[in-house]
Amino acid sequence: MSSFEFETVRDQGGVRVHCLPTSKFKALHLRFFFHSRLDATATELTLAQALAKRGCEGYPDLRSVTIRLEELYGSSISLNLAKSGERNLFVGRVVCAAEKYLPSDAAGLVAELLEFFDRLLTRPSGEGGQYRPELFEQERTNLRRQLEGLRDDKDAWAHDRFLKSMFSGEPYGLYEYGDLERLQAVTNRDVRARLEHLLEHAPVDIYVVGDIEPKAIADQLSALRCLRGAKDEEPGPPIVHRPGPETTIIEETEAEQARLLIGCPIDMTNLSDRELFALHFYNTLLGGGMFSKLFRSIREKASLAYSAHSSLDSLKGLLTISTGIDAASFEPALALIRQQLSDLAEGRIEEEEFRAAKETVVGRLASLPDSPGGWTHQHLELALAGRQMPLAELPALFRSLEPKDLVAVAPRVGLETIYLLRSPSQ
Amino acid sequence: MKLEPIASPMLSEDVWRAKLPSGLELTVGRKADHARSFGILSTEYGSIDGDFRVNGTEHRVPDGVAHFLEHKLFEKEDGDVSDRFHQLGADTNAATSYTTTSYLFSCSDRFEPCLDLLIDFVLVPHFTEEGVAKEQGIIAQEINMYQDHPDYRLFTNLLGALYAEHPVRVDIAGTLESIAKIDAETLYTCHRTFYHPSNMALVVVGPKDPEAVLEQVAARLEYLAIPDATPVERVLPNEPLAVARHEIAELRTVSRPRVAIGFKAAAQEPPTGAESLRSNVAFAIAMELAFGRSSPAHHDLYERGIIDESFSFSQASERGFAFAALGGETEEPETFQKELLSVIEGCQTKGLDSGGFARARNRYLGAYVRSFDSVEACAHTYLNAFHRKVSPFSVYEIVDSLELGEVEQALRDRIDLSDYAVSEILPAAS
Repeated sequence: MSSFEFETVRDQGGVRVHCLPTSKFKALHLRFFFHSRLDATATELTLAQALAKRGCEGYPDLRSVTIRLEELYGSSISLNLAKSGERNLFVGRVVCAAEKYLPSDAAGLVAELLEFFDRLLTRPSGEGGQYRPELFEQERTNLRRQLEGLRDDKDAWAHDRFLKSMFSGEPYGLYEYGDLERLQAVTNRDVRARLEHLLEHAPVDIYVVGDIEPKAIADQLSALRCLRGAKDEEPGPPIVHRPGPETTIIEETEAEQARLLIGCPIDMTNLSDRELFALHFYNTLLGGGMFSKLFRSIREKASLAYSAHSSLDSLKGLLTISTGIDAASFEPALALIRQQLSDLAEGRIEEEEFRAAKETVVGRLASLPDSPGGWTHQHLELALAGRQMPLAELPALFRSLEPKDLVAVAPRVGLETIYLLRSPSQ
Repeated sequence: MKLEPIASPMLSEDVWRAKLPSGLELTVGRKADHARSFGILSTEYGSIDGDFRVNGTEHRVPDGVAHFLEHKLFEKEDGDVSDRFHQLGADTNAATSYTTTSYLFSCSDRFEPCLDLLIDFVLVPHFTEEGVAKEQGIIAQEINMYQDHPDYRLFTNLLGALYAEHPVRVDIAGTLESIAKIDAETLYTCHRTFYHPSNMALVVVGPKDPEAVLEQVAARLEYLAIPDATPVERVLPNEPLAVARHEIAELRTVSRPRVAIGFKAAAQEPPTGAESLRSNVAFAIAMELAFGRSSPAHHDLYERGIIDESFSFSQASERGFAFAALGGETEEPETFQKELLSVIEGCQTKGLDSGGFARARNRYLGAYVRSFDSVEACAHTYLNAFHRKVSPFSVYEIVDSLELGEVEQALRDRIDLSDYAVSEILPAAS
């Protein structure tokens, strides 16, 4: 499977097309990533995506859009925003069953589907540079409810509050779907203008996985209006976070369970490839599964929590530890977390846990080519980090890591924000 | 003991089935060009099986035992089984539903030791009072975590309103009180009763040779020297057809009201086999035609702001229970209810859209083809087919031969507008 790599078949004018022709899958998977900087206009982008799903020229409402997709053999088009460092990726995902598994009248399905995707983005319904006013107001209301409703999901709420506390005043603290204040002020024209600006100026990566001829799909893509334009605003590198002193923040809301989040800034300067992968491995061993130090100490040994894990944004340089506990267990849970971090820093790594973490990481990487989405994501993440290497080499790279590699990167991991969300009655 | 191929029209998937001497049903799907292998071992035993008779003795165990047992099977004398899977580079997980408990692993290498480990750890228990006490703290946090999800509360409250006696009314994980009553002996009794291979299925999907998989499974079961099965009789209470209560409302710190409407139907007898599946598919398509995004009703209600993205509908038909539910967030709980009921009434009396029916088939077909791209999704499809006692590829044939009249009839049979329950989660004044 050594040739199972993306081939970049086009890279010009801010449009990069990466193809992986394979007969392994019964569907064709396309993903579009428009790169923009995370800023206050996240609100407009969220609204633009919601409105794109509500209709376009020739298909004026949600119902006719849905009917069109049903006619295209239940193909799916989804839009969402994804935060990666200070980037807000505007993501379009297009999937259809391969024509050869469908009845003969499905011929031409891919071209029709791409045309429809393009139409949703570039020819929204409405007149004079605006959306239909009633649609706009409705989606504004929907987004307001969604933003207000963030409180209802305690995990998401705690995470958002944690980020806003740690990155107050920095774009990274922004919620990728926007904010209520901006939503009040934003106009119909603002949203349309923001989308048009994005399509004109945002560079775009397109990934195609499936039984395709790269040249043919590249030609089909070149007909899309959403891929024209200058595409000249590269978002640039992430903003370096200046770590502050250790701070504990306690907030209250009605909840059965308290949520504890810990923010560990990482010094990303002059990080070699090997150190980058060592950091990923560090995160895995700390909180990347049932074998991890956090899971075993907080859940399995102390029975303080059902979940305890860590995640890494290697573009930003942030490691986040999160767990759901009884508020009374705050101090013992925090002490256990500190212990795991110092164990890693001082090389107290058991041979068995190290091997379990390594085998799991290598196993997951080796399985990745079975998932079009996972394989795409891996390629994009490396590209964003400015690393160039064949994906197939990753398992061997991780396999070569040793405990001393983790100890070597541990001093880069700080501990800045301790955030606890608990119930007033606890 | 021989592998029998299962035909897969349109898809050219390679799938075989065999029944082992101990009664275990094995399904192997071969995906030669994939790196990943996936194995699931599943027993027909879930949260509703708390009352049963073995050798004339009736056992009534605390709520939440099946889920508790699932957690505790991972603990062995020499440590946690998940550690051993990780040493082999594999991921592992487990899940308990109302009627089944399933254990799985996925790996890209060293498949054989993973498969042996799966069979061993699920079939050979090691429970201690100490381990049980420790797990009570972990599961209490799991229960609390779910209590914080308003949509989960909305749904479990709805089931509590629909059912008076049937154990589907109780949370799969049990309650803080019920799990405190669980001990090691209870776990052993339930394991002995429900974890016999004759009550179980094993599904493997990946690049492995099916004959080799069969040989390995047979050898492992022989090595474990499984005793003969003891017949078990599950005891389910007599559940009246009428809903237990019509309304249930709870105040919580939520930003918007949430409403769910539930309809209880007569339980299918049996809830397995081709006929039952056909009826379920017909009903699913009926609900899609009535409320799906391409339906006139969805369009109207969405445009008027009565429903939004959060609107959804579902149905279930299992041992001793069958219901359908519609729900979502809304500013106007009363209107939401009234309008949805009126849509059903219209569809039941005037019929469903025939153009929509043709498109629904297209969509089913496309989704069906796409679902076979994932090793994991294939494994779940094959396992589900075992529990449903049908061919994993029968959905396609059913969709192909369904007629609109059957779909309309399913909507009339499964939904009785004169008897339903409404669950609401309303914002508490803050």
